[in-house]
Amino acid sequence: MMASFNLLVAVCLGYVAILFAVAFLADRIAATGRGRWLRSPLIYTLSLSIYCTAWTFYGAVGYAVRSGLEFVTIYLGPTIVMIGWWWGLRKLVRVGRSQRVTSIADLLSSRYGKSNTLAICVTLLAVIGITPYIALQLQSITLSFTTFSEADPSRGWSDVSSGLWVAGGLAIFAILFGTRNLDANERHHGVVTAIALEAVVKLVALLAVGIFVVWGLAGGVSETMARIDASPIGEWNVDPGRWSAITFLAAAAFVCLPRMFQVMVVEIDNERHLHTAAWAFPLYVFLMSLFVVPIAAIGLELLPEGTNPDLFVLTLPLSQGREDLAMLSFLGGFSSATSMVIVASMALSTMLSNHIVMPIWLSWTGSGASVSGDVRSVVLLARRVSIVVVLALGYFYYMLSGGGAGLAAIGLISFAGVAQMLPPLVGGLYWRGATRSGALAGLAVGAGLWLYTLLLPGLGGFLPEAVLQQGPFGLSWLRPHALFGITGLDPMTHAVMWSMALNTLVFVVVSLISLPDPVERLQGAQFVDVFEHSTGLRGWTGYVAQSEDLLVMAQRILGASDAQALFQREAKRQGARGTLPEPTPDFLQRLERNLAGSVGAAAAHAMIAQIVGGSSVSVEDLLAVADESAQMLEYSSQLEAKSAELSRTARQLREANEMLTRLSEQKDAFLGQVSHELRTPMTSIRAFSEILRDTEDLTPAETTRYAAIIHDEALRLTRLLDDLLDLNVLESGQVSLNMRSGVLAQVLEHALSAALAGAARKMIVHRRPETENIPLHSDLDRLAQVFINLISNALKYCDTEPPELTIRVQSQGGKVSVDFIDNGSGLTEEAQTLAFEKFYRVSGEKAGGAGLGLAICREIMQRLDGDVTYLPGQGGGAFRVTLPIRDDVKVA
Amino acid sequence: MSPEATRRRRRETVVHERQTYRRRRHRDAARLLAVLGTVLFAVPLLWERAGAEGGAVAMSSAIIYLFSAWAALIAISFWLGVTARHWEQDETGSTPNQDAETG
Amino acid sequence: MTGRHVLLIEDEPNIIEAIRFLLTREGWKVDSHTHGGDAIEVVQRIKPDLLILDVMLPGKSGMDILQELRALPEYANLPVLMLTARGQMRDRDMAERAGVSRFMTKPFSNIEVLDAVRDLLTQTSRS
Repeated sequence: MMASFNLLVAVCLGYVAILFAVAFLADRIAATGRGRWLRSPLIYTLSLSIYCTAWTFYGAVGYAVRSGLEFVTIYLGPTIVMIGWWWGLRKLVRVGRSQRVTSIADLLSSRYGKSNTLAICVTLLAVIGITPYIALQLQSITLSFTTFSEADPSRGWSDVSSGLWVAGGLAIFAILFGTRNLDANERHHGVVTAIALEAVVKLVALLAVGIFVVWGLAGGVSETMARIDASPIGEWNVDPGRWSAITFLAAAAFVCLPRMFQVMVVEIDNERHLHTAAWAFPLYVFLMSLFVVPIAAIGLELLPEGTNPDLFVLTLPLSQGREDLAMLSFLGGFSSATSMVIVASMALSTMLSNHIVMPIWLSWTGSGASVSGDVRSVVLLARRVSIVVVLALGYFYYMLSGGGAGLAAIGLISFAGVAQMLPPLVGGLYWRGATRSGALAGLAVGAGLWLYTLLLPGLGGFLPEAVLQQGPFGLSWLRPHALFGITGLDPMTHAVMWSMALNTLVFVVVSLISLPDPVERLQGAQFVDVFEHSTGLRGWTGYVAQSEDLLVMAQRILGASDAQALFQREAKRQGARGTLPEPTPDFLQRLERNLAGSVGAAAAHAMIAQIVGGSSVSVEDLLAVADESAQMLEYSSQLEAKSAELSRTARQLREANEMLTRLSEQKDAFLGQVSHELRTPMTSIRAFSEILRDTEDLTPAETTRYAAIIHDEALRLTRLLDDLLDLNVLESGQVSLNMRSGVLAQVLEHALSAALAGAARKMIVHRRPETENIPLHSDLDRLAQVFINLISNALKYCDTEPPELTIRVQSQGGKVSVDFIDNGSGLTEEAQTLAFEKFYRVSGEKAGGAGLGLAICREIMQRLDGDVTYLPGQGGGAFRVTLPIRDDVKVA
Repeated sequence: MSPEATRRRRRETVVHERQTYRRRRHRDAARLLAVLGTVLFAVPLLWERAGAEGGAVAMSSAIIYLFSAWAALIAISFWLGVTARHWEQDETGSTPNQDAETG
Repeated sequence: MTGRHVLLIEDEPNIIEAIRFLLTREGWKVDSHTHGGDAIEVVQRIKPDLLILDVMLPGKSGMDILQELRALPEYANLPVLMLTARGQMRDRDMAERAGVSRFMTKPFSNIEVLDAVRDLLTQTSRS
């Protein structure tokens, strides 16, 4: 009885339908919040089994036929990683979860200062490395189809079209279940459950074939062992170099492969699953490899010479007339290939869309998510297109390579490619000093060497024969398989050794000589010390944001209901009224992580920065300006004299900004003003220092004049900062009042002499000394400050020549009022209401004060239990200061 | 404080210390297991290969050694996983706070 | 492109001096005005090829000036470079709605300003 090819296709489609149903149901159950088993450690462990692809399902037997027990290294590496989870995986998973990373590219980008350049490099490396691997899976599926169709000649069969059908079908599955939702956690219960089912199928299939071979064909364990020893692979013959190199590679790839990272770190529900997976996954791969050698040895014995050993798992049962077993085995191989391709394409599409498509889209649409269309649908579309692109690449690679034996080596080559991510990954998790430049340089060197010594020679035809034999340009020490004259090594060992060693070396050296930027340093600490502060402190300190803008953006990315729910929760947590939370650093950080789950860390950071950072001066802005100023100083000797002053200004700016941050929550508009006041003198400073730096033919007079402008503007900044600091001290109530007893006349005397000394205008002052002999108990210095301010204002703004000032003192009911009346035109009605607001200035007046003087006066007087008000109807500008009299003080 | 209470306090401290101690030993064992695995899997590097003078190691012996070592590692790892239940709450069970709130 | 006429409405004398210095060196004619209230009349009198406009001006804000200018048919296409020291997202949006050609936040780098002016003048000389 021959299974008809039609039956096979029907079984296949039925199986896929079951997978669909399982994935669909799991998604439904997960959405309702039920189904704890979906998040069980068992499902987690089974999902890890996508490590075992068709390459290992079918290929392990072929591998064993060619190289004996060497195949087992592919499983030994991951076994060591898994049982040693306490060393590495535990930290990786914790970091992955606390930072909400979506892929390995995202993790590395996030660690190294949210660098998208790094993410792009990792993504490209992954695509280059994984595409051939996907081609390998397509090949194995079509090959297994072919094996059956050869047995059933009634049916026409074409490898090419079947490859296309398979690729298309896999794309549809991956799109349907990998991109249904844009979850902040990037978890896909449907897909994970389906691949867990597939894991069971492939294990059962391989065990069934193995048991059939050992007990059905060979006649027991000892018989089997004897027949193995008698077979062509009966002796230990493994190259020690390859044994260690491949074990290492498999361990590295197990962590770095995008699909493994997806199931191991992104999809994990609970860190405790690692306890179970630590023994269950090694057990799984143990069982997967248990019968490989017996199948290989018996296959060699029973099957005709020239049978493809890669398909023994299929052809051995077929040759014994066990169609049912062959069918099961076929399903096992089919499961291995499909689960790998689905998860790999999903993982790669996440990376492609988050790190390449979205940044390009965001920069095209200009000002980002706050004004543009629906980001959510764009992300999903980008992922879907990326899945199709990844599978299309795999398909074309399969077509181009002709599906020959060259593909068989691709698995390991692919491993070696992704293993290049290991140094930056490990360095990033354990070494704070690792920098972005180091990671990029190491990756570039490692990936370059991998391309040159392994991938290109392995593809055949890409490198001319002459280069392989004599090296490029006849430089023999650059031969791809014998770098620096080290010959005699197996090409794989050679490539792994050089690429990993130089990758690590360059990574470490460049990290040591380069400086990380602040974000990088912060992230480095977060990653390395993840167990000390899992909740994190990376943040948005020092920004003012519009919560509404943030909500608008979040809705577009997370979806309206999710975003609103998130904001409401946050508002509740803050104890705020209404539905909008205050944009505290804490909240911004959580929001950023949520967004990062959808669009990646770098993009999320950029989006929030666009909204949050745009609204006021930030520490970084100011530092950048200060940095630039510092650099300009180095260029121009004229400016050197101002250096100390400028750097002091910059320091004060920073201090002022920190103080502003505290005020900012209620004082949006205030900050806008401060920004304006700080930026205006900065503009002049920057413009003229650039002129001094860039213009060669300035006359000495011009040089002096421009340096003087810079000087004046720096002074203006200083004054502004002094005033701001003063105001802050007063407003925060931290001021300590120096209460003393004294007489009003003395305070006025002191104030007048201070205000009028060195003034450009002369002012006539009318006083009645007999009224001023009033005892006070107050902070006399502060009081004098208020008087000085009022007198200076009169001096500055009185528009009559010559200016006259009348000081009138009245005491009444325990209070004394001191009026300052000038003979100018006074304040307009509008100005009267605004005069005490911060930054208010009489229009047209510029270079003088910052418009804080009266605001400060009012603060001082209120501290002293008095007040200062404008007094209308006095025929000129008039201010009244009131303060309590202390009547028990007798004046001498 | 009464003598009774002091005694109880002391006993609790001792129990607590013993638990901490056991937990730490446990963690050390979990860490060492990876080292043991590496060593066990490196042993085949010393074996005589096919064509060697003294004759190579037979495939059946190689299989028995490797798979026994493997099974032993799995068994120890399993045992560690089971006993870890007692203290995992403190050591790894603390999932980051924000998950509960925003997830 | 040389010999073209730039009008600068800005109330900060030092910034005027800096921009005037930069643009004059490039061979452009620069006029400046420091008050917002009568800015429209000044534009109508001077007929510049390019207008550089500050946002916070005494008398009338740069936003209002821009809106009123754009309402006049003969200035619908006048290139306008806007400078602001507030740097808020809202300002940029408002300016864009009002029809600004280019929007810049202070402090700017001189090269940026020169590039922007050159760009805007090239566009008009082509059209």
